[in-house]
Amino acid sequence: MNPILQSRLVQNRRHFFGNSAKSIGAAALSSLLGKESLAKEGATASGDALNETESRFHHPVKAKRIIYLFQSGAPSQQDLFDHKPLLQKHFGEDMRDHFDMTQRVTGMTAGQQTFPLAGTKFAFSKHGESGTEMSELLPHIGGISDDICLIRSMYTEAINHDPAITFFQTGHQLAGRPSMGSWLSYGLGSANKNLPEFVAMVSRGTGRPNCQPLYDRLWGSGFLPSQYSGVKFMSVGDPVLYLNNPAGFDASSRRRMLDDLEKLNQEHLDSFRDPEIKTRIEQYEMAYRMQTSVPELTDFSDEPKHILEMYGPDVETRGTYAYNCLLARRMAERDVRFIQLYHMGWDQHFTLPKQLSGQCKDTDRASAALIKDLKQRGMLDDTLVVWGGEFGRTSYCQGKLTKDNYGRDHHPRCFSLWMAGGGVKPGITYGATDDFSYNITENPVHVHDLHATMLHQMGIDHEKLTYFFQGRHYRLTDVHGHIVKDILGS
Amino acid sequence: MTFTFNALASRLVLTALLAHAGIGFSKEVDFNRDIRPILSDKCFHCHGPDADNQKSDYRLDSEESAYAGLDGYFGIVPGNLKESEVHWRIRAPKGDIDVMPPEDSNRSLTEAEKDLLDAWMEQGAKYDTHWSFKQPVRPALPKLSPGTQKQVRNPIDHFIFAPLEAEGLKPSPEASLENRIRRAALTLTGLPPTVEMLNDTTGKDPKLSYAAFIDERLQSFDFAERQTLRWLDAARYADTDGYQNDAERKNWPWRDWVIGAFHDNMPFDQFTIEQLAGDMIPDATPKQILASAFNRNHRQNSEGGALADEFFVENVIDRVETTSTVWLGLTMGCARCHDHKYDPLSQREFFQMFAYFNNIGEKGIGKGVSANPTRIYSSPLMTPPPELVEVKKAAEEKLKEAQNNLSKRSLEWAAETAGALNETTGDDWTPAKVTRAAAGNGVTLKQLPDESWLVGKESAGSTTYSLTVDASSEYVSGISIDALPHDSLTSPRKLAPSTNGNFVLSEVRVTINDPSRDAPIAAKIKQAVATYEQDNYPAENAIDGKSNTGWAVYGATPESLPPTVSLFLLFEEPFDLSRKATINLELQHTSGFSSHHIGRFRINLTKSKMPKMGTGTGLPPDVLSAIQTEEGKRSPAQKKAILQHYRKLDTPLAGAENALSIATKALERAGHFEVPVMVMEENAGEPVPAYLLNRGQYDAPDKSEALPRAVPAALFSGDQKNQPGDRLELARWLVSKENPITARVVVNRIWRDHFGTGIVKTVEDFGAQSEYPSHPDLLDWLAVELVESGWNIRALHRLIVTSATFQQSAKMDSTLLSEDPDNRLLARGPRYRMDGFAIRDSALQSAGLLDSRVGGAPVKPYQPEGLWNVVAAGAGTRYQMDKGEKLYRKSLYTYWKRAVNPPRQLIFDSSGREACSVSVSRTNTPLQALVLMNDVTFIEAAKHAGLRALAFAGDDETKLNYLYRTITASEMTTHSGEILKENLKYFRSLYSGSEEKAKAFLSAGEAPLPEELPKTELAAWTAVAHLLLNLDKTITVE
Repeated sequence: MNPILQSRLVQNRRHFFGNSAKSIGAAALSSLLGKESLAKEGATASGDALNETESRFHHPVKAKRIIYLFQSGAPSQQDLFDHKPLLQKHFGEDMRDHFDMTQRVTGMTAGQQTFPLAGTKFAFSKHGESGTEMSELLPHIGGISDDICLIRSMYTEAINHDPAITFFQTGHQLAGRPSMGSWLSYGLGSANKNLPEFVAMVSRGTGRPNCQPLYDRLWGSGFLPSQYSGVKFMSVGDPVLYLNNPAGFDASSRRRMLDDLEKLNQEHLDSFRDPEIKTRIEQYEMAYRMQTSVPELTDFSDEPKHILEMYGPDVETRGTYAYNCLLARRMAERDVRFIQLYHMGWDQHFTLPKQLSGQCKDTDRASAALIKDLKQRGMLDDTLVVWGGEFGRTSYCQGKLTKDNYGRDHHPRCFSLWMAGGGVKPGITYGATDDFSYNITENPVHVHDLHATMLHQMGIDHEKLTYFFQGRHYRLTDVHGHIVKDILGS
Repeated sequence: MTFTFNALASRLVLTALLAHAGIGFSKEVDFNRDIRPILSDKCFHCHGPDADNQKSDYRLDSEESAYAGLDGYFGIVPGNLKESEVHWRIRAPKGDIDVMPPEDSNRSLTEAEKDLLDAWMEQGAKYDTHWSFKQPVRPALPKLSPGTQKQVRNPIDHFIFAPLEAEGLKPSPEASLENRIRRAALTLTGLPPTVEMLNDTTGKDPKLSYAAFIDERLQSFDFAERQTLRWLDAARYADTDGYQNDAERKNWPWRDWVIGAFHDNMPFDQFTIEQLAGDMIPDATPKQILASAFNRNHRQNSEGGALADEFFVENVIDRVETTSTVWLGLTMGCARCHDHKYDPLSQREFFQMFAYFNNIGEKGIGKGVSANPTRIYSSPLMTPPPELVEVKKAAEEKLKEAQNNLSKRSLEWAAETAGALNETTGDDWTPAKVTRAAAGNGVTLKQLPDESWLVGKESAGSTTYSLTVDASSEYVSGISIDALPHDSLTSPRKLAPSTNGNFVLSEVRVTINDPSRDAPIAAKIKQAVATYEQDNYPAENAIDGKSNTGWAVYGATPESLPPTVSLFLLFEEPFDLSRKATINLELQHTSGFSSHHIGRFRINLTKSKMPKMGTGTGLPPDVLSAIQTEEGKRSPAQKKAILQHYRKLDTPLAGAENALSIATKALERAGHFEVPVMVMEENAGEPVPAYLLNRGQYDAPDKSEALPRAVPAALFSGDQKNQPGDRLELARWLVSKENPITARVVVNRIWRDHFGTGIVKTVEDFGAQSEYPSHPDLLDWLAVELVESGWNIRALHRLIVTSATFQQSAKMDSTLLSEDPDNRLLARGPRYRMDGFAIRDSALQSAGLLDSRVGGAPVKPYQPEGLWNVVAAGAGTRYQMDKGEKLYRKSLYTYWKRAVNPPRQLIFDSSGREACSVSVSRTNTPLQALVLMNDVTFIEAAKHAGLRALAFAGDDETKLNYLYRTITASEMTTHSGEILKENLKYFRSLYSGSEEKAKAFLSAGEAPLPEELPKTELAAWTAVAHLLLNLDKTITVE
């Protein structure tokens, strides 16, 4: 063979295997769930199976899995995590009397005559040995303050929900990029043979039930092959879409059907020799295993009473945040790699005090229970938990301000978020904002920085996990992102 | 000859050694094929076209800069490796500070790549224009050996077989006729051949040859629909807006335009011009303007607080990126923020392209259905029933008549009103006694001491209040509703229990119950006036007969709005009522916004013919002053104000409009909708200036220079002064012979649609980072052929599927499997999994369920419960599944919601239709297995396929053969037959043992079954059909 043509073919294969990691062809033998993937660039020309002796990781692994508790809508930092007594002192005064408002404002409040400062109506107090200051709305999270790292200096680019949530999940404001969970499953593959490696779960807030929406693309795989998408666990019907056999067709019928299916497919494989057929056979077996492993996963009957109580009374109601938290722990035990919860309803433009109380009631106890539960099982050390929303809220009031009632618009330039476990330093507070929670004064953490840090704890160099698409090597962090070393343990 | 990878590797090492020894390659290095891909991917990031944003001044993207002298040395000295710094740098040992690419760059060169670079420099380091930027020239057909020549069916085969011969490989034998028929039917139409088609082509006495079958399929709507489906991904077509609440839009008449264009085999150049600039064609027809909706299929943001400037820019950029991907195969979006890292596309040029697309006067934000420019269209494919059209025409005539004398009637009204105004006195509205008040949907109402009514805290998606108002012995000319604030209601508005205290009153119905009359009378309301109304929610919405519009009272600064608001309704004719008369007032709240119902209210009545409404007469100030001006002295503006105001009050006009609305609804019930489509409509006059946006940010324009429109210079071969001046000229240039890329890009996508992989694998990118074509001469030959055929798309498809290459067997032997696993050399026929659309449609066809109607509004087939509810907000949470035939329409017509894609398509790798997508992904996952195993769509299809088998005359074996052929379009092997017979036996015994189970299994789906049926027998056949629908071969193009 012409060596140049041959080298080109090899290059193409490597191009293929090195960049898209797994797809059809020989590589397909190890498609979804049966596979181990490649965080490392430049897989060998023979590319299919991973060389087991070769480390898949760029860094030592501090976290084996991530549970991301995404609070959709943007929780108010002033009322929960970032106490600003000066806002109470100057209550009702116009923000512009104190400094120039140079940041952009959404169309919802741009036309306001005044921007009255709204101090929180909730009391703050110090918790634990760390003395972390938190709101009375979060007594249980206050109770685990010595286990968490509170970041008060998060910031982002977008000012509206859709671009901001999309940015948080995919590192880009417009739809089309892979979500962080799909980057991880692309990079690391599955540690579990019977469950998906990336799962998304959604719950609705009771504080603001008529809330802003979510979109499936938030856990989608963007331009990565669809096998890296998050699998949405449903709160009604089959927990995984199309999981259950149809009526009148039980597990033994299914077994018989799959046995005959394998025979027929095998006959065809013998004739055509296309490895894809072999993969198809394996995927059907995997589907069959999921039909058993998912019901076992979602069956809480083996949980002792004291555990159920710890998560609160909602824990046994499907579709609640508490239920999803316990399910998340059960998934973590089964080595699901990236578990993402979305709790909706944190968008408090009006009647914040009432709505926020409801949102906190939904999430405070179960969030803390999850941390305690992981800790008592010795799993917190290698499980990274993240809690936070897509941006912050304004210190000025949207709409009419009274002592008991106010609302807050979107504020992207500073907000709070907390992490626990997975090698992150416990019991610390990181970063700070000015007296009006308008700007960051110390240790800013960008969304890209958070992503870089999360990948780092999972053993991945965020600059090296790339995918070739439309002529570019894309990354979760684009061309940005710095690891926040200050918050990492040794 | 067969190579294993190891053998191949050692051969490469040998080649490398030869290169080092200075012996060189036996064949000349080709810059475009061998070198540019390496330079681009490994070097251009710092030594490429983006000179302003890279670490080094040294550039490798052109001859001059690569050969240029550096500080006493040269990067490349052609023909002299020793003097070439590049050689030493790429060969520097690992860890050396000089090594290129640097270690922290995450890029590295393989030994083979280094060898190639060295060989290239030794051979003179010749540069060449990037292959896709050069004009394609029709190459001569390569010569073949006589043996291979015999297998040739058309010119394509020369280009495929010649490299095979060179590699010592042979084309595979032709596949069986049945197999070829199925393959071609699938790639052309997304459907396998029916049993009837198979009988016509492969039976003992065939009616149709392969070629005739192909022609029949090419003429079919199945073909046009399949090609349209591909185009929808490229055109990012969807039925919703995409951002945040993901509102519904109605651009589907454009989709039907595309179907029509493919069915008529519209030449691709015309197809291009009409879609990119149909609005600018001189004397453009409505259909041509409809075609331009192509570039309005972008997402549209209507999120509260979104900034119009920001999303205007995003919309325009989307058009640039889509147009450049679909026609130029270039990733132009990479040049939004800085010059392109790999291709000769500057950021300035990106915004020069932007300048073609920014001039349609759009707002940037707001819902798609009203995102002007929009126009009203119905499906261009459907002919409505003539009698209904007649009725509508007549109604339109009537409307014209009513409009004719409107001006005269308006003057009469103005005179009458001016008179009445002079007479009006006194307190016009008196509170009325509400004797009974009830609300639907669990909402409670209670009366307060001040006699107003207050709702309870129950939340509700919709509710209707039904009030009985005492109106005994009254002369009544109107009724009013005061909405009052209350502390139990939600701030800031405090007028409703909704999240912000706002309500939407969708519709008001007033019925007069007078015992002295025969029957209750629905009061006709001639005018609705409110003391305050929210933008887009005027008072008239409450009496327009539409449940999805309404009157609402919110605003940007809610605290500054009037705390109490009132709605006044004037009757067309006053009523003189007797004793015991009552008025029934129905207040409907059906907007879909949760708990947006009036929180506290009071009802008033009036006797006055011209009562005060709110602050004045109910007349807008300009109308009032116009009326009070003497007729002869009114200004044109005043005349207009009177006419416009009177329009809403005129009875003949209202009647005519109502008749027209009834006629329209009758058409809609018959499937003929008229809907607003987002189209392009170029502004007249001076175009809106376009500026370079720094870092691509909407709020950072470089206003020092308004950029002239231009296509990138690297692509434009003519005099730069003659650059396309507007969008129409741009469209014409794209399909002109001067443009080197478009025909190649189009040919390559169509090739991919048949073979599964393009000649250029990176169908979305023909730039420097693209993969070099596997068969460059074939690509050029086809591109020239397409242009010279008059851009005949159907002829191109015919050419491909009648080639011997396409008709080869797809079986692999070990040589092909190890040497060319991805089938890039095409020594065998294509074999790849079908997409989710084809998989569902094929199953429906096998079941005899597929509905063959073409075009029309999108449909909502089976979908698992709760998919929308879980994530969506507001009105988007309801998935109202269709009924009847609509459940079985082709997947092309499935409603495409961007926030929640149709799940079975998503699972089978569809694009999300958020943005332009031309590449195809094919995975193989357990979730796909679960869809085929358990989705009601496929269980129901199995049931109806089983029913067909049961009804087919013959014994089990005959029936099995028939079923197998129906589903797989192939003959059953003996071995398969044995397995299936055993399977049938197993399920027969299972279901005959439990009729309950059989009934349960047969309960899937909505399509009715015949009454008299052996249920257990059907269940057993259903199980067999279910097995067959899950076969790998059933869902594979092979």
